[in-house]
Amino acid sequence: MRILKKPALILTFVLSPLFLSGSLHFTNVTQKNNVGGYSYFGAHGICWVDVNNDGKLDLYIKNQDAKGVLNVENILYINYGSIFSDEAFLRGVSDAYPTGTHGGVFADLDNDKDFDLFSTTTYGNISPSYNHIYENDGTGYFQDITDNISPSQDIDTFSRGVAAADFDGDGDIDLYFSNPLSEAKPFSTQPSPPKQLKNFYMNNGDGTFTWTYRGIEWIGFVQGVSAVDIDQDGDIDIAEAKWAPPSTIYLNDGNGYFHKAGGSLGLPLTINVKDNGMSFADLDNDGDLDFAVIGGHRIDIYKNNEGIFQKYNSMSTVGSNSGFHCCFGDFDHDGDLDLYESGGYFYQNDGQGNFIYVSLNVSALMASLNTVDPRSSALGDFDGDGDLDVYIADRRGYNVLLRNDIDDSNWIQVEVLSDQTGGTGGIGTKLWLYEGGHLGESGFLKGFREITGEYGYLAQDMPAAHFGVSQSSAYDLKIEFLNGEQRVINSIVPGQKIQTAYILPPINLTGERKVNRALFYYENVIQLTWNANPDNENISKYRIYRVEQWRKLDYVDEVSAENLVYHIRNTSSNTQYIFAVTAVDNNNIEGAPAYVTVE
Amino acid sequence: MRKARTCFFIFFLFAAMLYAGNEEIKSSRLSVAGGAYFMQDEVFKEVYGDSAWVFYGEYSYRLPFLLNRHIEIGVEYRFLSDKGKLTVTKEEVDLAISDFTLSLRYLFDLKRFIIFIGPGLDYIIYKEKYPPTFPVSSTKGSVLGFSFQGGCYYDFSSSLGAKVCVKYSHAQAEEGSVKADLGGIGIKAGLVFRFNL
Repeated sequence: MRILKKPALILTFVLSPLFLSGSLHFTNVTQKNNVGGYSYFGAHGICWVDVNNDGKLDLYIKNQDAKGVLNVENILYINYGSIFSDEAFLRGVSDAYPTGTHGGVFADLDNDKDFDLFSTTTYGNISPSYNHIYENDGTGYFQDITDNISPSQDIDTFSRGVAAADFDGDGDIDLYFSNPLSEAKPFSTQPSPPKQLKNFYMNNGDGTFTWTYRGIEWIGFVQGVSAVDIDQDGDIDIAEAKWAPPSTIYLNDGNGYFHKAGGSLGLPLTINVKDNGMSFADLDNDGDLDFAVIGGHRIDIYKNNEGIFQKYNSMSTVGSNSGFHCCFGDFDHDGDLDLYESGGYFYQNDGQGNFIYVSLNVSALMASLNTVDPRSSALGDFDGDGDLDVYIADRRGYNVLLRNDIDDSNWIQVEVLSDQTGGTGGIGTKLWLYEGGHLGESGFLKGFREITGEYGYLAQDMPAAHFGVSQSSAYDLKIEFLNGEQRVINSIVPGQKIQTAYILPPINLTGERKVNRALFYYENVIQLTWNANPDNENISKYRIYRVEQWRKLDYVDEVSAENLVYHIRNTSSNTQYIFAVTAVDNNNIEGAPAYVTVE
Repeated sequence: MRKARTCFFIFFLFAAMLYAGNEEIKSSRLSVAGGAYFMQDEVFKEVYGDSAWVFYGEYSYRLPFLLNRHIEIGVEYRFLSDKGKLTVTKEEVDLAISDFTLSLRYLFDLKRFIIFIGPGLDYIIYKEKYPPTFPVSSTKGSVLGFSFQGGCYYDFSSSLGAKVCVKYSHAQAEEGSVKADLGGIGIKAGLVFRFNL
């Protein structure tokens, strides 16, 4: 167990049962859900993602540096409702290469509405040490498509944090990875002379990737990478937490080329601080992204003041660990983002972005503090009860799953079924939640979220926005996709998960069995009928899919936008069928599917 | 097709006129007729409509029986062709039915009017063609049926006359699990050319 630096806090958690009322309450459900990992440990990063499209969040653990294990496998815990089962090897994403994985992110790389995986390999004096891309078949089984990277990888990489977003705005998700160099220990305390190394896999939209350099020089060891629209100009920027050089921000020029801008945005230029992660969130509900940087035994919190960041708070991290990751979530559903330091304490937001230690029930606090070498932690609603649960990666101990026990309906979740790329996940999508009837009025803003991939130190939260709200009100939501297109959903009642899309599904989809008769022969057909969604524009056609396994879409046909009926031919009269219909716009961007089951 | 049929009628009428005025009793009749067939099958009605045009050609031979009463044996060819639409997808389908009827008729002469009535045995050949999207491209088959018809001839002359007839047919075709009732009522009218072999 780590040495706790704050005796007062020890006293606090000893006394915490006395003032549980109003405090957070978590339960350590690691054993119950069988998600502790393996005795060789080695966990660094975490992704909460639904890989098999069954509506339940699965859990991917990125392992590296496991004791006594050379080709350490990553873990893919499939969520079966009451228990998780590691199926990483079975499903093709164990990614067991020397000496394991740090960064990895799930994103829909081929716009087929499932989450593919980009997983790094960390060089450890054993070659080859290449990054890998895995394509999801829609059911959570993956195929290694690393060979689709061109030119082929020919150097080992020391990848840590990664990022996934449509950096060049061309309608597909590109990939960025840190430390593209084959130094076994690039941990110099002094910044390196800049090196222009290829560190992007730019998505060509046809399943291939071009390995290229886009302006982010390597100037020293990088830990976590975050990718959000920091300057709010409609493209995705990149922030890197570094050890020797100061952590910094690289601004995107809109075409996927970057320039360093940390100092000009107010970030410190101090060297050798050993930052591990930068986490961006709207901490004061003013509609822009603030951030916290963690490492060097402290968490510094910066407020975004019209594009310039100003440090206004600093907290010590817990124990001997220098602090690897902090994440923001509204754990208590009071309408502002609270802070959790991975393997440490929970801090409550006072509504102005100031964080105050909040009491936690002893068992959960102990589970957090007893982690031996906590690295990442990620937030996801694994049990579907609307609140944010926490998973903590422990490099030298068993991982921990803390279930949030808050029992209310004071929440709204928003899932982006498909975005401006046509893919799922909504990376780069911004969401503003307003008090009902006050859309766009800053004084009534109740929360701002931007959906991202991996952030902080190797963490990927569930791909949905979570808002804590007051149950007595209804809310209006403004959604802005990365290309600037906006959608509005009015009068949202708390306690529900909203699904939205850049192109919405057709409405009133029905499937009816019919007999298509001639005089001497007949066939059983299923007649699909639907209506155009009035909120969609410029729809050119509809695509029809058969769904043999839940949400695995097998293409059947497409019809022009004038046709709102389709016949599935020659069907069996005693087989249950599931079909999906999507709308496709003039730019060939495909929307979210509508489903129908024909008994 | 319609033009060809018209030409054929004109030609036949012209040929028949050449023989007009010959008062010799002639035992053979060659007739062509057209009409409508009202098939009673509900699916037929849904796919092809309530009725279809039908064309007939017949050779018959009259046998003396009693004064003003005769027996006539006829061999008739009937052809029905129609286009319809599948019941759900509304794609076009084609139906062709040919049948050969061997009939035995009782004739009753009333000067220029000759009333006839009698049964027949039908051999029906059918073919239905489907669109490429259908599970099969076509269905072909044949079936035996029977018919009963009644009508009358009207002789313009010893060589040329007219014929009006109502024919009820009964035939059940079966293709796999599909049963089609090819029976129904046909109404036809046409010209008759009389001659001796």
